[in-house]
Amino acid sequence: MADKKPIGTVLVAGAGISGIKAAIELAESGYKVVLTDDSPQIGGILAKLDYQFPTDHCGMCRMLPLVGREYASQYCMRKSLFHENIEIMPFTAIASVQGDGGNYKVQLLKRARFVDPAICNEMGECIDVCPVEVDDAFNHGLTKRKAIYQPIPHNTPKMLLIDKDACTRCGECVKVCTTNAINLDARDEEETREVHSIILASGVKLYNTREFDDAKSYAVSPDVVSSLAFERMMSGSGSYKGGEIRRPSDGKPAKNIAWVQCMGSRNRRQKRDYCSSICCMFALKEAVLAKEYGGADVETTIFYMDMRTFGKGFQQYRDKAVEEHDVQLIRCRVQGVSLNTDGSLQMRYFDPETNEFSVNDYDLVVLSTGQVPFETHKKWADLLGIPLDSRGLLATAPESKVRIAGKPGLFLCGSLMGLTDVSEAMVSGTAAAGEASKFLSAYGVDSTREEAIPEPPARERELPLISVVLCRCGEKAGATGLDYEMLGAALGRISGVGEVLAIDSVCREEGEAALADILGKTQANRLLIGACQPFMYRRKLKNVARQAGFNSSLVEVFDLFGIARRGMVEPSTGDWTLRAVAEVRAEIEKLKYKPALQVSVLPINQTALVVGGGIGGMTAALSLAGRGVPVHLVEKGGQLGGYLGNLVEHTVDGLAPVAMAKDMQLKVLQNKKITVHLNCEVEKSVGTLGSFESKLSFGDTGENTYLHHGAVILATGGREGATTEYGYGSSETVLTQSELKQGLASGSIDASELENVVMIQCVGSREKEGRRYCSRICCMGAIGNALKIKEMNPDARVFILYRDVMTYGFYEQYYTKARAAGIIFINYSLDNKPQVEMGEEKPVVRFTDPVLNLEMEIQADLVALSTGVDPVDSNRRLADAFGVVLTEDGFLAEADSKWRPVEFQKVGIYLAGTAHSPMPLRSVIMQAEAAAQKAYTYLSGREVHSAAVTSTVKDALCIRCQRCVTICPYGARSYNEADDCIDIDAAACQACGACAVECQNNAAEVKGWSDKQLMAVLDAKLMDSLFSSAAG
Amino acid sequence: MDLQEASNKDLWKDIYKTGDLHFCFNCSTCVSGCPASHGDPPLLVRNLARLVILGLEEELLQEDTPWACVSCSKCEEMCPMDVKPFEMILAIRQWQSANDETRVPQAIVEIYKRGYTQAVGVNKELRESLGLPPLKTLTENIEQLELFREMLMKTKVVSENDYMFGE
Repeated sequence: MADKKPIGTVLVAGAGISGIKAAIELAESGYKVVLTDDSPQIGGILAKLDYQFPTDHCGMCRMLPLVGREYASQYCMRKSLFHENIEIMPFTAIASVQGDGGNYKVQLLKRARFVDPAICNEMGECIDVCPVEVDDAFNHGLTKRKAIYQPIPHNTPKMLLIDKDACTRCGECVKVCTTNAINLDARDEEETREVHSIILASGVKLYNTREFDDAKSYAVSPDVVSSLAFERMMSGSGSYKGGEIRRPSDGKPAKNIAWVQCMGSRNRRQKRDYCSSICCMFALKEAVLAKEYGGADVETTIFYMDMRTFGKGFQQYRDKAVEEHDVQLIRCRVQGVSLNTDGSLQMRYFDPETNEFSVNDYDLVVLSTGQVPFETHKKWADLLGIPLDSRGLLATAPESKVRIAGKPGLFLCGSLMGLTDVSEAMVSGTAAAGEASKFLSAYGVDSTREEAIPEPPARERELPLISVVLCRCGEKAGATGLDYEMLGAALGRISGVGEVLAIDSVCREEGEAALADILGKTQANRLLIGACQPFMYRRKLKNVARQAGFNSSLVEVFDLFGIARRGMVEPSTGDWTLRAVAEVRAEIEKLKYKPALQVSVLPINQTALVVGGGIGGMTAALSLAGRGVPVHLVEKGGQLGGYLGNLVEHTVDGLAPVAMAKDMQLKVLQNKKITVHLNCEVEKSVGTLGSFESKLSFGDTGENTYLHHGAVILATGGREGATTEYGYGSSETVLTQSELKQGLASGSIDASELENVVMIQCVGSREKEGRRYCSRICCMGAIGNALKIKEMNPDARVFILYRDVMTYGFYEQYYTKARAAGIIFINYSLDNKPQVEMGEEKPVVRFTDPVLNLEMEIQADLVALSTGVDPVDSNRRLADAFGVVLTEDGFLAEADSKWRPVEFQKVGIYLAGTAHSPMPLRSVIMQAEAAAQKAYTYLSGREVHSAAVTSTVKDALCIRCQRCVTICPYGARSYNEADDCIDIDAAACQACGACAVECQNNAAEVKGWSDKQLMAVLDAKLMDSLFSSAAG
Repeated sequence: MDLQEASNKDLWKDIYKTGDLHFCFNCSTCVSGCPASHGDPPLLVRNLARLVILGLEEELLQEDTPWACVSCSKCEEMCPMDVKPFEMILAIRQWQSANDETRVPQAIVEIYKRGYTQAVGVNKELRESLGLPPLKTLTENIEQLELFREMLMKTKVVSENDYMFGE
């Protein structure tokens, strides 16, 4: 027998959202994860944000796994994260890393918290008695906190710690702590871990307005804040109650608010020649929210240089902000803020609309701060002995954004790539996990696939007999303030309760043993456990019960001390015990009427279908095949490679798509796991995660084939937009950017003969009548062509007429390079588009230079049009075939634009690349890796467990109105015409309960949440209030 | 305007050889805090940069505003692209003087008479309202002005043109 292989373990350094995402993805694939963070908390920047656009809500929980959710943990993600395969180590630094891919030895430095979270019962009296007050860094100094504190106000568990530098060691907290959780002499501890792979997710240093000189002329008052501080001002848990927007200096409502963009970024002088990518959307969102929360009389103005709305839905959000919320956008970079004698703030700017100077007063100025170079990169480079590139960034493999060059098993994600929005963080985290999983698979380690403890039969037909087990929370008397005798006596009298027992510390091994002992002897058929933090212990305790013969759906774990923590009743009083009696009574009633729930096990067909044979599709196919998953690769055309792989030789950032596609094609064709189907489309697909059947139709022969597979990746790409504007089609001298590119590459256009070239951006894009969106890649494409012309003929003059230069992130360097090369950029606005007229010899381009306010004309040798990227026509048929949704623009609509960018609402179907939205090649490849990883998580298992708690239909009550089908956000409900009934996809249902609320006939119901149960709970609670009013 | 006819694409080389100017992306930082932008006509630094980049020789030659610069060098400090706008203004003055012989005497007269080229506002009312003492310009400080004139007279360009001071 072969030796048992070790379980693959990955260190994820950094617990912001990209790190968390990477950790969850790996954990869900059965690998062990050590998730560290330098700070005392997890959640990174996102822990501070209440709202993200476009929904202007939080939604962080949407990144959690949706299948087998009873086996993972689904709670508010901003509070915390629990997963049995993830060991979370906040406040832990990486001291050193030795070894190489597959065998890294990591020295961790666990900083002393001085409060043991395993013992702390979170009553918080220590915080009340602490005499030290300091600025709360979480709220950017807008509020104060104690020296003993909770790092994130909404965290669960609270994870208290002591700020070593602020603490006076007065010892008051130690005196009041009833559980001895505080040790003022605690020391930092070192720990060594051996891991196979490392994912760096530490983020990047952010610009701090107090640290850098170039902020001095702006940060003249406490009322000038950073964009993150402004988020804390708006937050319900932030600096002002209820998220009101006030001036920090005097607490007066802030009614006139201005944002200053590019604070610290796009600054060659400060050696920060990059764009921080996220700030434009951040500011637009903040301005919209300021209006919403601050009242209709709030005025918002954003001072910007280029409004970089490059991503999916960004431009539409900008249009909405301007048209519906009246957010003012002014294209001017102001030189500074001055302080008026009355404390208000003044800015003078040059208004390009009027060509006049204006002076305005503001209550609050928000500086849109981005990233600064690149301390974290330097730190990792030193620690890992890897080189930095010329910009000071960790060097990744040329085509990859996440695979670190020259060091196997080492990856990065999130803002180490440059500041990323939520969507990019999710994609990169998933892609990094995918790369790590590929590495682990090749390295030959194992994954844990949990051996499910068989579910004992439910003794449902027996009369309910409930055993109530209550945790005493440690031996120390009075720790909980509960009178257990009184509680036990009161509960024991309730009908259906067989016994009430108390045990010490059910969270520890001794407690677990005591519980097993009790369960071995009991006659009861249902079990109710009262302990703290059920989200942490529920799974473990249910396993103990299952081993003792309890069906886990008839075991409930509830939070016994929750009431005291919510501060409803003072602890250590009789009231508190009475309250507990009432709470537990309600829990008992709910359990009494609970039906036993069955989990169905569905086998998985471990084969994938990838639709689209471009670079994205081939990347996904190779990624899965590399991990042993058989793949069907379907391509509509007669050859692989797609648009880029067949037509684009070079990109501005140094990739060679045609060569790359050729190389990939070879690998695809040689790979025995991949079956390529050319000249065909998917006509229809039925089934669900684990078991799809798709019908292929071959257009040329009219033949059909059926494929069986467990998951699908849609990577159908896009195509260059068409236009009839600007004289296109009437002359060979007016051409598209890609025609220009091919002409230059093939030599059919001779650059040396060109004197004047005019490029027009946003042709038919970002317009109400045309493409409403920005195609993201055209600015880079135009700059690439312009640089090529300049390289071949330095004397040629190239003019680029643009609306906003969308060179986000590190693409900014190409914009800078282009200007340095003498390429002239001239802004135009939608209401004053350039005109192209066919002259006698050459086209004449007329436009207004907005700087000089002069009308100009150029006789151009060539006019090149950036006509944008269109979705492929076949998307409509594909969406119908798979039952997924298209956006208004014709791209595939992902489940959630921020948190689930490569998934559809329907589980088992994923998307990647330009099928999602136009994007540069590196992003396509990253998305393809992410989509492959999402599919792999399921395809690597042999079976999928349906959720026990799902919705049902009582067919006799159902009138087939199909309201539930419409309202279901997960596409889990459908109307079955053949059988005239409502079908429920148990794997897709997330038990949100929307159908049960919508149903007018009580026909839709969520199992375990029946009306009968809830009525019983209400009765129990009402009885309580009757008692208390009688007593009062 | 036909750019082909009006523009000398190598104009920047005549004026300001470093090439730093090309980095300008018209962000307006230079103008938004420029004291001379309060003048009439205002000094608009970014427009000067644009004229140079586009090569609009005639228009640039006509521009009086470069001479309104008060040398505070705020634009130089704040320019995110390190275009060195203040140096550009000095370079434009030189270029104008070299290409238009009437520029030099005019500027010299002003410098000799006043101590600087253009009238500047001294914010009298604002200073008063803030309780600050009035600013003394060089013109009012006769002793210093005399010293300055002596110094000027030692330069070639001033001594050769001293007939214009007409005192």
